[in-house]
Amino acid sequence: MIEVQSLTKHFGKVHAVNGVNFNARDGEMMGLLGPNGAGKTTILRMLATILRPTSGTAAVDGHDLLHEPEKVRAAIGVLPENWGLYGRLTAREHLRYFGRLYGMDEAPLERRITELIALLEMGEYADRRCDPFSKGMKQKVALGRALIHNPKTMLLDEPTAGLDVMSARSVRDLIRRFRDEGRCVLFSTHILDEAERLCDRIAIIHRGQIVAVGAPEELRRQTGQSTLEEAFVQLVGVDAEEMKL
Amino acid sequence: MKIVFIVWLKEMLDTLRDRRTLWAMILGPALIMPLFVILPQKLMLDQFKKQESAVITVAVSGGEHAPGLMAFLRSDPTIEVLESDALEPLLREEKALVGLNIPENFEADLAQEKQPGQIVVLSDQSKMTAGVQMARVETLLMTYAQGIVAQRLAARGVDVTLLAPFETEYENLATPQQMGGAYLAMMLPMFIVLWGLIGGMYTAIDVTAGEKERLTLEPLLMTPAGRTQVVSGKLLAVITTSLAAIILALASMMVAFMIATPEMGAADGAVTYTVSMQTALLVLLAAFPIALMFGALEIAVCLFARSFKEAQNYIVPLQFVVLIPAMAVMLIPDFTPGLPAYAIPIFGSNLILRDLFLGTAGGLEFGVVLASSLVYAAIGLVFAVWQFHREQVLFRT
Repeated sequence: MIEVQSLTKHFGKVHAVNGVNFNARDGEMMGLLGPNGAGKTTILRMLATILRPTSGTAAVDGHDLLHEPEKVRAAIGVLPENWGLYGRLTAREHLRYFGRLYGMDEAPLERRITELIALLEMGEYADRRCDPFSKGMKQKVALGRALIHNPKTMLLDEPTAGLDVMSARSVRDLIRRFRDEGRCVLFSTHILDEAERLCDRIAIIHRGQIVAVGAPEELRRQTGQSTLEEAFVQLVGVDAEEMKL
Repeated sequence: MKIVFIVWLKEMLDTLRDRRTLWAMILGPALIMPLFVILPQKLMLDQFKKQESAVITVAVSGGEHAPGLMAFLRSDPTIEVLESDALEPLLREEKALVGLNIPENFEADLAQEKQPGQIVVLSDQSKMTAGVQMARVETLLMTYAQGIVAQRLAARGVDVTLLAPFETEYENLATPQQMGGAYLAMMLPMFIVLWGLIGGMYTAIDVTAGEKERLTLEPLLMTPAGRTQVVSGKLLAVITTSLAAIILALASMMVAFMIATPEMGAADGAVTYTVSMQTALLVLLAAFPIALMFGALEIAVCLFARSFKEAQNYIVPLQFVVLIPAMAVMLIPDFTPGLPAYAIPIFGSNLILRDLFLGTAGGLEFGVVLASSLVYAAIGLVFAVWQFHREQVLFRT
C-alpha cells in the first residue's frame, strides 16, 4: 500500500514534482500516466528512497519514506526505467547478489531463484552472462531482481518501453499476475492504451502535478469524452501531442 | 559486515571477468616490473663494459710531429689510429669519437726538454660513449707522459719511486647486497606506489562510474543494504586488486632476480640484487595504507564522474600527482629529511620504501608513515562515503 502526501521535488529552479497526492491499495494496479518529463520517474525514485523529497512525504505499508527508508526499501520491488544489469554477471548471479543484499538466507534464496527462473521462463539463459541478452531477456532479469524478496509493493517504471510485441505482452501478463497475487502495483507509462487496459486506476501527471485520478471510465465520465485519449487531451491540453501515442 | 563481504565478493567476481583489470592488475606488474628495473641496468652495464674493452678508433692530426707517441698508441691492441688533417668532419661523421691534434715540433721540443705546444683532445661529449673513450685516451696519454718522466729522471740518476712516496688502495665497505639495495631503493618505491594506484584503477572506475554508466547503481541503492557498507565493500575490492598488483610486482621482481642475478653479479663483480622475504613483508605492510588511501581517493573521484571515460580523465592526473613525490625521492641523492617528512602523504611512503630497500628503515619512521597513511586513508574513506550519500553525485547527468 502506498500513500503519497504533497510529495514535491525541485532540482534547483526546475519543479519536477509539485505537491502530488494519491493512494494505491494492495491488490490494485495504479498507473502514472503522463508525457515524457512529466515527473513520473522522479515520483518513483522518491518512493524508492533514492531521491529525497524537497517537501511532503509518502508511506509504503505504513513506513514513512523519510523516517524509515530501510523498511520502505525492504518492502518494495523496483523495476527501473533502464534495466541496469551487470554485463559480466549471469542472470542467476544477479538474483543471488540482490537476494543477499536484501538479507535473504542462502537456502530460501536458492529456492526463490529457482522459482523465479521458472516463473519468468529464464531457464535457457539463466547461467549465461547478461551482456548479449535481448531487451526482453534483460527486462525479465530485472523483473526477477525486483521480485527476489517477494515484495508486497512494486514500482515499475515504463516496464514495456522498448520491448517487442511478444515481450511486452508477456511482461503485461506478469504485471497482471502480480496484482492478482494481492500486490500493490504502481507503474508509470506514457502509453494510453496500455494504461487503459491494465490499470484499475490512473493518475494523470502533467508538469509535475496530478491533473486527475480515477478508474479509466471515471476519467471518461468526468471529462464527458468517449475515449481515454480524448479525456487525456482535454486534461493535459496540447502537450498531449508531444506524446508518442 | 555481511553486506561488505557480499559486495566485495560480487565486485571481485565482476572485476576478474574483466580483461582490462587483469591487464592492469596481473600482467602489467608481473611483466613490466622486472623489465623496467633489470633491463636498463643490464643494458647500461653491458654497454659500459663494451666501451671499456672494445677496440676504439682515435683520429690523429699532426702525427708526424710525434712518432714516439704514435708508436705507443699503435702498440696498444685496443687502439686503432686514423691519421687525418681534418679531425672535425671525421668526428662529426662518427668515424672516430676522439681526436688528437698534436702541435708542431712536439717530440723535438720534448727531446730538448722544452715545453711543447698543447695536445688538443677533441670529442663530442653529448655522445654517451665518447666520455668513456676519452677517458681511455687520457689514461694512455698519462702513461706515455709518465714514461718520459721516468726517462728524464733515469738520465739524472734519480730513483723513480721518489715521485710515488706511498700507494693507495680503495675498499668498498658496502656489501654487494647493499650496492644492489641502493639501486633498488631508487627504482622500486616509485613502482610500488604506482602499481598501488594503477592496480586498483579499473576496478575503482568500474564499481563507481561504471555502475552509473550501465545504470546499475540505481537498483543497488534501492536495496536495504546500507550505503556505507556498500561503499566499504567496493573499497575493499579496489584495495584487493591494488595489493594484488603490488604483491605480483614484488614477487615477479624476486623471481627475476633469482634468474638474472648471477649474470649481473658476474658482470659487475660487486653488486647483488636481492629482496629478502622480511623486506618484502615490510614493504607490503607499508604498501597496505597506500592501497587503502588510493582506493578511497579513486572511489570518491570516480564516483563523481558520469561515465567510464570521464572517470579515466580524472584519474590520469592522479598518476602525475603520485609520480612527483616519487621522483623527488628517487632523484635527490642521499636525501635524508627529518621525521615530519615521513608524514607527508605518498612522499613519506616513498621514503620508507626506499629506506626498507636500503636496509636503513627506522621503527619510528615506519610508525609515522603507517599512522599518517592510515589517517589519510580514513579521510579518503569518509570522503568516499560522503560522496556516496549525495544525490547530486549519484544522479549527476
